[in-house]
Amino acid sequence: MRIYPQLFLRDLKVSMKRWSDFLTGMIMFILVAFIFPLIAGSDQDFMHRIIGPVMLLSSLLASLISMQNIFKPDLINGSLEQLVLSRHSLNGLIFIKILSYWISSSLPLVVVSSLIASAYYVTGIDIIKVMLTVLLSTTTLVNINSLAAALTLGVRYPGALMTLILFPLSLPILIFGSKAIEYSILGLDSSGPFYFLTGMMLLSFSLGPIATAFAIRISID
Amino acid sequence: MQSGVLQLQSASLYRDEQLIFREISFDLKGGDHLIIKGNNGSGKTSLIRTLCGLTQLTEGSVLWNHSPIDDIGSNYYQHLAYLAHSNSLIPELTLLENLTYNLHRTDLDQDHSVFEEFQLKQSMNSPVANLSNGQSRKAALSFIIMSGKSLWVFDEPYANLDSQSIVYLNQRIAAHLSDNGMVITSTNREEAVPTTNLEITMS
Repeated sequence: MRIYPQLFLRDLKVSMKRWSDFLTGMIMFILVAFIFPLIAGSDQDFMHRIIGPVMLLSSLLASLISMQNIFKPDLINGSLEQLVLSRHSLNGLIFIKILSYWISSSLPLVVVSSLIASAYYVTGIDIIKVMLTVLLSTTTLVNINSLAAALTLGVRYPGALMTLILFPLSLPILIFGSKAIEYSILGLDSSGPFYFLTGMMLLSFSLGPIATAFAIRISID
Repeated sequence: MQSGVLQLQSASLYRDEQLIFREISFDLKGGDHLIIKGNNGSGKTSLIRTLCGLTQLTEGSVLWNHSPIDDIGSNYYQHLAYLAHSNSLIPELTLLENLTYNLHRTDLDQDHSVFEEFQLKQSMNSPVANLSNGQSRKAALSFIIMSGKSLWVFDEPYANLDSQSIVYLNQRIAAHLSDNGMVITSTNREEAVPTTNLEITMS
């Protein structure tokens, strides 16, 4: 069982060495999310109405711009093959890879989203709810992304194809995530969207690694 | 060393209707060394990848102890150490970190004499990206030698190696074979390989 913590540590260490790749996603997130307060800053009601979609959209863009980094470098240096040839279950190994990728690429977004939320006149407990929404939606998005990245590993310029796979799968997350933030800020009962997001997160973390592992086996052939 | 039998039965591989190889069969037992010879592009790497289960055969089957390797999965992979064209090292990490996080390592207290023999001791703390091609190749070879697995599969192991390292590698292969291990080597440098009883020439 030592292999799982080992792979986890290795991937975190490697992503620290490739920090500029991961910073790209965060810069994208901050840029997109901060543009709206800068342009249309003073109207508090308007800000409250758009923060939901903006948060989700910037998370999506941030994950889009860096999603190739999850498997492509490992495919090129050959360590992905060794993962497939390991005596351990590939599903488990991929789960660990996705988890450590989420920590290095999306956990910073959760932290930064609290600062961005205050630029949208969001205060108090609502900031926590914004962070929770970003946390729940990025965990789901990272699973969808890794599946799309694995499916297109063998394609030389996968940009358009990957987006086509991603779009329908991530749409529900965007809709329910925006609603979760909107309802929280308006003071309505937001438990419905949050239940949905949590469900999607659990579903994607249980099925995502299996589907991704399968896609990797096909792509590596 | 506990060993098994690797069998390839009338294997054929087509890629996009194009024939890569056809009707190849062999039995590999403990102590056997199979050499796959052939020019560039003759299908050596494809054959080796099918033996590792990375590429699916169009016809025929790969058997480990008389069971298809796709069915037994990890029971096969726990015996297999595969050196690909790429060295499977992570360029951002140092050689020592690559060793620490190597997924196939079974024993923590391995002797590091392989690194000494390959003259890698002084490079242990430099990132793999800074090593020369030959040094990375030797590092990847040492991981296989230290893996403690019974079936070693090498794709062009002699590429970029200096003559001293070739001699040492052949010594380790001979030692592994006499320990009842199995080795499969593909090469187009026939002068480097020791003579063996099993040989396939691809064309």
